[in-house]
Amino acid sequence: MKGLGGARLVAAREITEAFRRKSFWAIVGILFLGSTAAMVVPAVVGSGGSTTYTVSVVGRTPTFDQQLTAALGAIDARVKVHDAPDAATVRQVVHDRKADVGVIFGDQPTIVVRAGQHQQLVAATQQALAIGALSSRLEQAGLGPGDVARALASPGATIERVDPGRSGRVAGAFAISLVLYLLLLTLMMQVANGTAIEKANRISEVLLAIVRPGALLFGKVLGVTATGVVALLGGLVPVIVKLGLGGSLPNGLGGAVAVGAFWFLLGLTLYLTLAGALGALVERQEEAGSAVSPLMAVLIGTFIVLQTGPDSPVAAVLAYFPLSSPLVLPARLAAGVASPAEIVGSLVTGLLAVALAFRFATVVYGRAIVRTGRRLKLGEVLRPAR
Amino acid sequence: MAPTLLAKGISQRFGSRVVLDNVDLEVPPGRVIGLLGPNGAGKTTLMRILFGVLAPDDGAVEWDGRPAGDADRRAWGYMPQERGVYRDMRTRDFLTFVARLHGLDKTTGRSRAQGLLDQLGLGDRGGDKILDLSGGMAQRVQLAAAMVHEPTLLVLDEPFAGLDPVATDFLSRVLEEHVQAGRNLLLSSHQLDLVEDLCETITLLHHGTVVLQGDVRDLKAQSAERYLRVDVRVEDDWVSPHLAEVTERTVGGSRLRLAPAADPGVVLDAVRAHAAVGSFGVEAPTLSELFLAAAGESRDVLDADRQPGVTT
Repeated sequence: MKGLGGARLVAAREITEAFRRKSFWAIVGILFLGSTAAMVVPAVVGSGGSTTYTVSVVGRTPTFDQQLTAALGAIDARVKVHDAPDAATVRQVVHDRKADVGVIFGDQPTIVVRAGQHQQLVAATQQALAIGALSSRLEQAGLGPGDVARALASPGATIERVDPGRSGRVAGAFAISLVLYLLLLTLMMQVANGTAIEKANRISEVLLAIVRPGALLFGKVLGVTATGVVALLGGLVPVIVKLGLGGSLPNGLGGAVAVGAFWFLLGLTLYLTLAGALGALVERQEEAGSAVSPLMAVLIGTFIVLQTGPDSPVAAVLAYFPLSSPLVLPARLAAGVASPAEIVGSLVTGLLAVALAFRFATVVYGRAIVRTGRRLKLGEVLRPAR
Repeated sequence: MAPTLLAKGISQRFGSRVVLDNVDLEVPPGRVIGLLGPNGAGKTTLMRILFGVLAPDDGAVEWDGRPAGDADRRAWGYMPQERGVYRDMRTRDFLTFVARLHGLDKTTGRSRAQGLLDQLGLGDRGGDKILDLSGGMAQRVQLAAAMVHEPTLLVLDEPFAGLDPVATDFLSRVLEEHVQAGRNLLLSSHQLDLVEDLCETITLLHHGTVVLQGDVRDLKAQSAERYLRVDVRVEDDWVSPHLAEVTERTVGGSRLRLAPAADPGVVLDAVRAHAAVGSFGVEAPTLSELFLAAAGESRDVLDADRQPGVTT
């Protein structure tokens, strides 16, 4: 069997056998359900609707509700105000999260809020209290209630939000990086385990007597990559269906998914090729995990760094490194912060890395797969035999 | 008649360790050729070199008088010592996959796979996963994988290891049919006596060098050594060391190597002086004895368990 034909048959076997495994369909199912939930849940619960806050008060003024409602109108939020018997109760319900904010009226009103939370509501409450105090002073100064109302009825400023889809895109970027991270991790282990098993039970010897080592390795990479694509499609189907039904994604996210998919393939090829070579170093399947631990460390480290935000300076640098760009670039594309130069630079380094990985993996795999009896070190495999 | 396989001057090192040193091997068609020797002798390494899995440091492999190429090798069949199978694949699918790698189309491969399964007594297990088969059945599947493309040359590494007597007899018949069809067969074994009746020509390896090579009958006939077999347990002091040496004691009796000028009758009388002998015979050396004499080793070297280390 010629090299390409051999690789094709090896790949076909990987795909067929993966499709017969329940674990594969479990991954596809999880991606499908997760993606479906991401598409359907916001529409059902109405994520685009207004927020309703709960405010607990003691000794409120008659106009407080009206003034707070007016202040919250600017941020499209509603409020429910509940009276508490005393200040201690107000503090307790806020502490117990039964109310978002508490207000204790007096000569100098106190706003109670859990540290670091509901800043918009606090600001609106402060505004309502200030307007209440101002109304009171104006009435004390002799203005009638109607005059006060007219004086304060000037239209409030309109809030104009720049880049309204950013939060959606950042969430999309996180979801994409999480899916790619999990798929890369799973498929990388699958290749390393598969190679280790083939070496341990000597099926590799049967195959190597028929096909070249390169065809065997790349057939496996090709097959597992194809299963990764199928799994990814499980996650994309709900997105496609939503778009087909006239739904929309956060601005720019659709393009990012399409371009990011290419980087995913690039990264998958790179990681799986290296994992196949490293898996050939071990003698038993149990050792496969430790053989690919350097790759896993890079992948996990990249994912952790990415949680600082796809638009962070570190993420901008990691977008150029071939082992981190498959996670970072799709996320930066989704967040809308990847520059054209960065895309081109990342593509060039990625393609170069894949070419080098192919060469490296062919040498390591070809030499290591036939040396049995103990675990091999990468150095001794790369060293010339004589 | 099929061509002849020739390995000429094969040498191989792993680091500073010499695994094969200038080894020659000839596998003509129509004969069972044994590549024999204790564990670690270099048999597996030589087989891997024959199949191009390893490139030798020196030497060449020829088929039909010219260097063997990938196309030649794809027409051969190889069964490694360990269970070289995908255990989680269905039996028929695995054999079809191997057949297709050898260049057969899917229909032919599937047909050949089923035919071999029938021949090997596994006709009703084609849809079962290999991991659900017994060890002996899995080994038959492995043999089927080596034969599914009807190879001219069949190379089997330790095919009898771990087989029960029934399976051994069955495998022997399959191999005899292969050579009777005018094809080539090379098998390796560290159990020299087990394959003594099967191999017609042998190459005995020890520490990577050929210590004995040739037709089994000729080698035995040419050997100056003769052995006396008796059905009693002979103690060392029953026979003078000038006449014979006890080389083997089993529950079935003893085997004594006769000194070059010793009269077998005198040795037998010496034994009879201590115990009644019901059965005896003067015999040529076994393959093990030929090996030990040629290698200058004690029997321990053949009885030693496989040592952990790089497979050779």
